[in-house]
Amino acid sequence: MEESSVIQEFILETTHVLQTVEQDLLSLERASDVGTLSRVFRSLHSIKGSSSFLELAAIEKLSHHAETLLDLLRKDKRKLTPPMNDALLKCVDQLREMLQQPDFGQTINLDATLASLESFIKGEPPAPPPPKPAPVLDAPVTGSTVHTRIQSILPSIPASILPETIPPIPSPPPTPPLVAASPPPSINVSVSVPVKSGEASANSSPRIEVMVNPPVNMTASLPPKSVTSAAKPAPEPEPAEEDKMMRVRVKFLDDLLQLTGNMVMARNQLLAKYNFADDPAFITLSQCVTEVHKTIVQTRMNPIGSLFDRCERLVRDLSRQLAKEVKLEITGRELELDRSVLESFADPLMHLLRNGMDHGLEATADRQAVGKPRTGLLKLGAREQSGEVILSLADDGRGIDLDAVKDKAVAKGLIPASRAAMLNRRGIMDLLFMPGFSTRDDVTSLSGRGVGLDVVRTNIEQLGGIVEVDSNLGQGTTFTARIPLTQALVSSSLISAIIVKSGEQRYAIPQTAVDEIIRVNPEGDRDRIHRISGQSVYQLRDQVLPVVSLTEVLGLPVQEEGDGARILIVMQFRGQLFGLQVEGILGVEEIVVRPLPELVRHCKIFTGHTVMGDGRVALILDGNGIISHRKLVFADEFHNRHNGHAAERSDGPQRLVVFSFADDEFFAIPLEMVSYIEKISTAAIKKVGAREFIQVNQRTMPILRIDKVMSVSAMTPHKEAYLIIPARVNYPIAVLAGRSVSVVDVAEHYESRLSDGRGMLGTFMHQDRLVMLLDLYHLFERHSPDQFRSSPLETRPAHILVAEDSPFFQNLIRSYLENPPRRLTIVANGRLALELLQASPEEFDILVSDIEMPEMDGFELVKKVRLDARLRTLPVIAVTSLATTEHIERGLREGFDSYLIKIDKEQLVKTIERNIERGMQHRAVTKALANRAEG
Amino acid sequence: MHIVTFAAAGGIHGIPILAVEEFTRPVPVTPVPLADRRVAGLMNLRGKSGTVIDLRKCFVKPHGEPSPNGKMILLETTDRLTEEARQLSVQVFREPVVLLVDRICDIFPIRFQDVQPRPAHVPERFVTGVLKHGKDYVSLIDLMILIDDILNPRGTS
Repeated sequence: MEESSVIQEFILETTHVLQTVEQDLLSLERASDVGTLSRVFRSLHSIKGSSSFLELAAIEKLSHHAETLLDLLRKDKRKLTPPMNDALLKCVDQLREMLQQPDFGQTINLDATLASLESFIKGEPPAPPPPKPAPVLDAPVTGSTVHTRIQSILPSIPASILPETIPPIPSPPPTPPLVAASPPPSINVSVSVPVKSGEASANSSPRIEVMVNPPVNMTASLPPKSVTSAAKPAPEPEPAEEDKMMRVRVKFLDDLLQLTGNMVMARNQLLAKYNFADDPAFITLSQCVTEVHKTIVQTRMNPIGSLFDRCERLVRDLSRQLAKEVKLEITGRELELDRSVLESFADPLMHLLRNGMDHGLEATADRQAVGKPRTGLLKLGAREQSGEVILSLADDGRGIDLDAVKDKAVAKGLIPASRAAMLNRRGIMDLLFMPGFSTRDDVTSLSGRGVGLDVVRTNIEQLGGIVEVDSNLGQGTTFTARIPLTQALVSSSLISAIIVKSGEQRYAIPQTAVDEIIRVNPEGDRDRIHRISGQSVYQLRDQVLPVVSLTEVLGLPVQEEGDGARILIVMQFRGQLFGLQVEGILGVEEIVVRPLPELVRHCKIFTGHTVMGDGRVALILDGNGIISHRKLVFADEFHNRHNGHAAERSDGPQRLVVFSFADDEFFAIPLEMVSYIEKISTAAIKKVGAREFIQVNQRTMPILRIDKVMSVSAMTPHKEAYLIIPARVNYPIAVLAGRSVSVVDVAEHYESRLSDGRGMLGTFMHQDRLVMLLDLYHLFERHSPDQFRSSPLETRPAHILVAEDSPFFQNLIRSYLENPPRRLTIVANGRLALELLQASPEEFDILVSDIEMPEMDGFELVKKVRLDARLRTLPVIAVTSLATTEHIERGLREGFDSYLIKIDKEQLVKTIERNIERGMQHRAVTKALANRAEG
Repeated sequence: MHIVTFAAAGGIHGIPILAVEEFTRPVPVTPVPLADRRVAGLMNLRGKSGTVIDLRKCFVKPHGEPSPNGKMILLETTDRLTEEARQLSVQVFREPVVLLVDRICDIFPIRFQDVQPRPAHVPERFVTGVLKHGKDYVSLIDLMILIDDILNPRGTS
């Protein structure tokens, strides 16, 4: 027993060590480093020692040979060449394999590996040397190498948009060694034009450049110190005390998580059963339970970098195997995910990488023939954005030939030719993911994509995600997988959910999936649910939502018309809204997510289950599953406002369009104020007197040059420029922008103290550049005062009235709504709000109100508001923590348009945004009425 | 080997006692809409969730009405089987499964030579043999076949 546990420990330990060794070998191939080399040597040495002690002869023999070779390398008697590294990596693979076998590899044939190691030890290369005889490492011990391949990308980036901190790149040295002053920094290549949302996001995530297949690289020697900082997270020879790690078997963590999940549920049951809420001991215990749960969830988190490391190895091997030079660029390594989610990413990712290397990137000769850089570029990235994990893999290869794809799908009988002719770009790309579209043997007949992509899609969809592909013929292909974090619901994680009822049963809906809750009126004229060609729909402001009733979804018998389902839960799934009609809401609860047991896993409308306070099981509804189960049809495929540019959801107030005017001055406008962006030739601008106009899409628009209305530098003259056409104005003025336009997500708040009240709202730093946030409406007013004074309704920002008594929530709401700028008036109770509203009914676009307030509560406020004819159409939103059915029902009955049950920034902002248009209409009407009354 | 016998759908059936974790009174079951009709739903027993299979709905021709207050048999999961159970090749499912039956009858040892093959007129694949116990005929149920039939339903269900 004891011995087997020693061996178990050895297997665990060695598996871990081999992982490090593999990474080290890969990094040594890019840049030599004595510390790393010694670490690899020590690792193999200790494997040899342990295996000898445990009498595992085969492992001992192999590790001994590897150790000998590494010793020579360490003492600078041999130089590490790619073929030699092949042998060492092969040796790592075999050691791994041996660990997995019951006899520890006694029967594995090691002759070939041993022979190749032997030959390197003796110093006679077994195979013909690589094309360029010069070894990669010129001076392995004292100097190290860093590749200056960055050079090849540089010319394509306008110098103006590079961060200022980038030092000049050393020119390729004629002969090594050349000592550079500082390591070349990583360069964010995607900063440049055109608008491609998200691509150049504000994430300051470090980029890690990885060079693969180095034999033909130009090299420049650098002092060893700077190399370590340039290459990778520095290989620390001795880990710092506080960073010491301990390995724990995953099973223990899984069990621990499950157990604490049970604890949380038991705690909730106790709360439901006994009134412990005031007992300090219980409160302490309760908090501890929550904390323990959180900590354990955290323990299971792994950076996605651990998965990307494996990709490096794959790319390196394939690069040699296919004789293609490839550079792998990785971003977002530090994104942390639950290890079970990470694991499920592994297969699809490897598949996509293989696909990209094999078919996406052209052979080196072909690349040169079309004037591309020899080295193919693969960009692998991970980021988190509005509740989704986004994985992307881009290559700069040959791209996808849409016509060829179409023809092939028809030829294979996957779709009829008539339908193929009608497909749009997106539809054609979708064909790639159809099962049977492509198989290994016929990939060469078209652009070569589509190998088993249906498998990738299936894998991602199992995680509740989607995978999309975008491609430009001749320029490359990008695969993007998006997985909602709520879907990547990790077993035993704690989420906040809305509990709804249907008959006797309760169902949970993750709150992140819920946009708003609306009371509907099955009989009345207003707020009715209509039926259009067999599908129920609801008119939500300017959008028509498909609606299903929960009863229907669950396959239970539905009564004719008005089955009592009077509450509509507006759910969001990837930008698509749909309504779920339910009988009632029981409240909001923190629930522990459990996976669906296998025997019922085919019921796709559920994503998991939980145990409620009374000890009964409740099922968790899944938006995606409901959509596909009911085959809901959406009005438009995707709102594509960006005029042909990649469509991205414009959510969150922090998304800004950043552009230059003079080449080194940057400005920003919130994306939601932008209708579309157009590239123009500056020659097309017509001058009429002091004014400038341009014809865009058969429409003549005045042009606003920022330097005419603010004291900033004039635009650097270029042949081409961009036009930013604003949204939500009925007299659009195109804003002229210089060569750089990008959409960025800005996490930090802007510094509003610098606001000058004359068009600048404040400044913030983005990628080391100072960016000014513009008050577009103000600038427009300065540009054409007449137009804008006469129609102030559409041009001034919405004025929001907030009734809230708690200073804490007042501040919270203010911070939520101040960026982008909105006009806010906050009062402390319902009476004050009512007075303001009645004094100037046309002043406010929207009312946001708490329920519990002194003097006059929210219910009474909304009741009084609705009694006033001038305020009947004012959008009123309740924001409260009172979340019982009675409260929600009463709120909706008294006249609230929406009832938000928690202060949730995204939800609040979205709901307000959606109501603003109605609010502006309301204000216009009220004002017109008032004028008529006066006149 | 000992088996436990129980009544369901008008007959007496048996499974190895080593496959059973415990017997309980019925606890509330949450039905799963769209699930197989043989699955009564999910239940929670001391923090553990189990899938409840209503054995009375698993027979092609059940006799008699299901008892309104049946009994629940909570099965072991694969990772919790005892060494003895493993040696006797007792098979259970990876996840907690609960059988809903009319009542529990008896526990007694059996000898393999007493077990007859399934008679031709019994259509249920999960009945692997029958044996006589007192005046009753006991049909032996293979739990894995029963569960597999629900996981991969074929033809009539």
